[in-house]
Amino acid sequence: MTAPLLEVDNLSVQFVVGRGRRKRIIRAVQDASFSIGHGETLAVVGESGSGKSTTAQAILGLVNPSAGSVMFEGSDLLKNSSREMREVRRHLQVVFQDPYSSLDPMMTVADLIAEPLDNFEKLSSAARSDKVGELLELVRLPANAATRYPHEFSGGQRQRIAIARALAVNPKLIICDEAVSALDVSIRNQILTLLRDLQEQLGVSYLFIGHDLSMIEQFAERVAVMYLGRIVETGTVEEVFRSPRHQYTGALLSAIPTHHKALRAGRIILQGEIPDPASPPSGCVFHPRCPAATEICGTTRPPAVQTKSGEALCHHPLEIDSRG
Amino acid sequence: MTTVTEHDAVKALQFEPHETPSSNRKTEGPYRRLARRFRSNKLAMTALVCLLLIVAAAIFAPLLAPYPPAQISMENRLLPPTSGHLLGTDELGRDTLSRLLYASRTSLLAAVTAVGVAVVIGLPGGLAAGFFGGWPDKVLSRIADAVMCFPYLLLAMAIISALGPGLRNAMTAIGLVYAPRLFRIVRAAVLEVRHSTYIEAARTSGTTSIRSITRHILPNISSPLIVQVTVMLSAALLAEASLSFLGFGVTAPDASWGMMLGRGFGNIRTAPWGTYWPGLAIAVTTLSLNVIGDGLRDSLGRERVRPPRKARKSGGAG
Amino acid sequence: MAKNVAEEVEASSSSSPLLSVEGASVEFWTGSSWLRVVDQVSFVVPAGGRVGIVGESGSGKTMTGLAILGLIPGPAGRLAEGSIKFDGHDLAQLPPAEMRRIRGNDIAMVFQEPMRSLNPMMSIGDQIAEGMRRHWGWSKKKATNRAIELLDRVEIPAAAQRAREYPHHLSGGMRQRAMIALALACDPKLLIADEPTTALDVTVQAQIIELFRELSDERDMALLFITHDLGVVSELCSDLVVMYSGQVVETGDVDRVFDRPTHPYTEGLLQSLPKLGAGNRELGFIPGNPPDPAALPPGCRFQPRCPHALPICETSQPELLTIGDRQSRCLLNSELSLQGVGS
Repeated sequence: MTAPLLEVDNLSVQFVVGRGRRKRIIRAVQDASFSIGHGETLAVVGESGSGKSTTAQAILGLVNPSAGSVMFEGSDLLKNSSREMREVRRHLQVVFQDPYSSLDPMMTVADLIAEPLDNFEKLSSAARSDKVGELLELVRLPANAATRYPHEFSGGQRQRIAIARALAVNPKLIICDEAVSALDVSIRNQILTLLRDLQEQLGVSYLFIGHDLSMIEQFAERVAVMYLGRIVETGTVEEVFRSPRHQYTGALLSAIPTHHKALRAGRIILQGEIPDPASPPSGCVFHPRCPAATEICGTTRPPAVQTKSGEALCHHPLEIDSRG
Repeated sequence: MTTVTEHDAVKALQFEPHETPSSNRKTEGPYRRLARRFRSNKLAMTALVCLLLIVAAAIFAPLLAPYPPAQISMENRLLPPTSGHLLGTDELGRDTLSRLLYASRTSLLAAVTAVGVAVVIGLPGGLAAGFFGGWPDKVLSRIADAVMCFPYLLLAMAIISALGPGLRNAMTAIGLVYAPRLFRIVRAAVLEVRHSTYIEAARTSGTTSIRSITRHILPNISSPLIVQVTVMLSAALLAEASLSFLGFGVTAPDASWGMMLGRGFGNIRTAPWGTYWPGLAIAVTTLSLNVIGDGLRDSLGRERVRPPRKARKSGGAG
Repeated sequence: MAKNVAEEVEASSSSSPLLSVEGASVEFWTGSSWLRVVDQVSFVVPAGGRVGIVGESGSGKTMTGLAILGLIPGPAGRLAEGSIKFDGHDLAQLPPAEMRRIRGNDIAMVFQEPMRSLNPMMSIGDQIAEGMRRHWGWSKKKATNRAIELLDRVEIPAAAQRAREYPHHLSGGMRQRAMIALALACDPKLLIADEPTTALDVTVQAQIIELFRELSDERDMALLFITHDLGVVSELCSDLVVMYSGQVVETGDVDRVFDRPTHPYTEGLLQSLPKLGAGNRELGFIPGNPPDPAALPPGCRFQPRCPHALPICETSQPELLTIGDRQSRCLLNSELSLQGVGS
């Protein structure tokens, strides 16, 4: 058993907002643990305030965690100096959510894609050109895109450019931070298919962050569900989708709009809204909205219930095979 | 009804006719687009041509000037425009046209020097303050604020007294006075783009801060920067004119438009034309620069299109 | 249950639908010519009915919604042709003052981003009350009371308290509810909702969809729901209008269209829907991109991306044909047997 590519252990990230009496501590991420193997895709799913994006930022070194460790290829990223971190970035790349703001409008596509190359390697102009051409082909964009500017491309095409850039220095892990959320549905699946093909071809791993469970089933192998900073359930996609154990996962799955009347019938509509991360509920953070909550849920942190492929932190986990 | 108005509709809109994305259209980079839009602005183009003519006149002054500018001729003092002296002569009988041409070199160069000094100080300062924030920003901003408290001419005169006479010192002084303004503008422009996703993306691509500033920030603030530099040139020109008029700028035997204006002012009753020509030169040049600046600003803003005034069916909000 | 078009037509052959859009086209001035972004769109919304307009970016669906309310951003945009008959009047021909009376009063609209549509300088209660005071001449007290009732109805807790708050105090889901309350203030006959749930969390979206359903039922209010999400449409609407590249390509009863689409684009959209079944790894997608309105293909607009296209599709432009109570814009209509998704 080879060691996982990325291993996050008890990661916590806190933000302090305001000063003096108005100081509030926002626990954006609390005790998050998960791992990603080589050539594997892990989806981290949650709604607003779940801490999923903050987790990605912590891994990338864009925010400072307050506790925990992030082992990437055997060394702890959090202990890196900024120079060491910069070296790590060859192997750890990102595709951002908004294709319209993540590409510098004043640069040509070639310069955009080649930026990581320029940072890490000294290539001759011809070699650079060739590499750009290769990358464009990998993401199925025409070769003449190289001399054009981002504004000439549609959202889906821009994401391809972003993916090409991410692939430029052969990363081992790519973090897709809501990378397809801003795209039209028919284009979204194009990009997901492309990502999947690239994974097969190049053996790259993905940390896929999203809020939409519906596309995860076709795309990821494992999933971690987050709510208000905590990971409430983990497992393989097959298991979690067919047999969610955490009440929130069940509600999330049933909330997906669908034409399947049978699935609609069993829908759980949660009451209320996601609470303020600065004052999270006591005990189980989900209990105020949980349809199965009892007294213990408001006082004690839930135990980890082991499942076949992962675990769920719930006092009253759902029955196995509840979704059939 | 406040809810549903044209204002809201425009905001709800993400569609811009020109921004329809496609890989079929001709390549038009951001600079070309700017050039195209500027070219279609007739007023701005006229001003540009005007400015280029003035610059050409300055460059080719030795070829164009009918007389040496310093040639004194006491019997031809204060002549009105004649066939021999197209613009007349000054109080020492020197040909006004020739002096004007040579003076244009001085004045234009002075303006460029001043703006150059302002840029050399203000640009790196603004970039650092905007990009890094924290202490660099706090310290530099406070310095800039302090300098800007002083009325600019007084400050310039104070610096000149310290540095000594001469046009070069005078323009350095103007540059120093303008530097905080440029700093502020650069800083504001940097702050607008500092937190764009593409800057974050650059960081995750392994781009260092310095490289981010040169590769990403600078090109993206170049638009407001160009506009400001243009406007600043016109202000610097006026500043030089003011200083020279007051006697603080250029020293004899050099001439600048401001100085000519000052001298001409002394003889305004007997030979008013001595003030017309330098005055006109200053006015036309600054006006051209301002119009060009406006044209650039318009060309960089949202492209607004008005359809022809043919009869059209309803469509606009009622 | 909301009535669908067919039932409505059967039930009262003499009464006409509440909203009837016929041959509406919207154009924008590009600086040198008029660019058509909505091309001869026709559909109806029966009184109390729920119709969904489905399309992706560039389909012209938002413009269609704006056109109905006379909110096409001018002067660069215009309604080039067509009629928009609402309750007996052709909205396209109405003078501005009349249109203002209808807007907010008879027809209301809800947008995707409530933060942009709500006035940040006015309290929620005041904004809702304003419509009633303006259109109905009510006193401030009476209108504010009704405003609180409405906020309560859209399930905003502590409505009286919230009415005094400002938009930025509310969360995204709350703001959208406030927006809906605002739209309902003058009891409109028709509510146009443009992607109202797209920016919301999934669990909140489910709540809002349920709210729309309840409101439409209890008030007998017609709903025109504009979205890119076919799943949402299948939950909420009885009739479906599919738009692509500015044109209507298919209309019909939702269940029937899902079961058997008659246009390849609809088929593609349906195949792109998540397949919520155990272990299904297939990702349906439509290759390519929507065409540039300034550079349309000579034949069918969908042809470059269509898996069923034949040579004739490259040269001939299909018309929108009516077959029974459905419409379809495909040359190969009768020959194709397209795959739907079961329920």
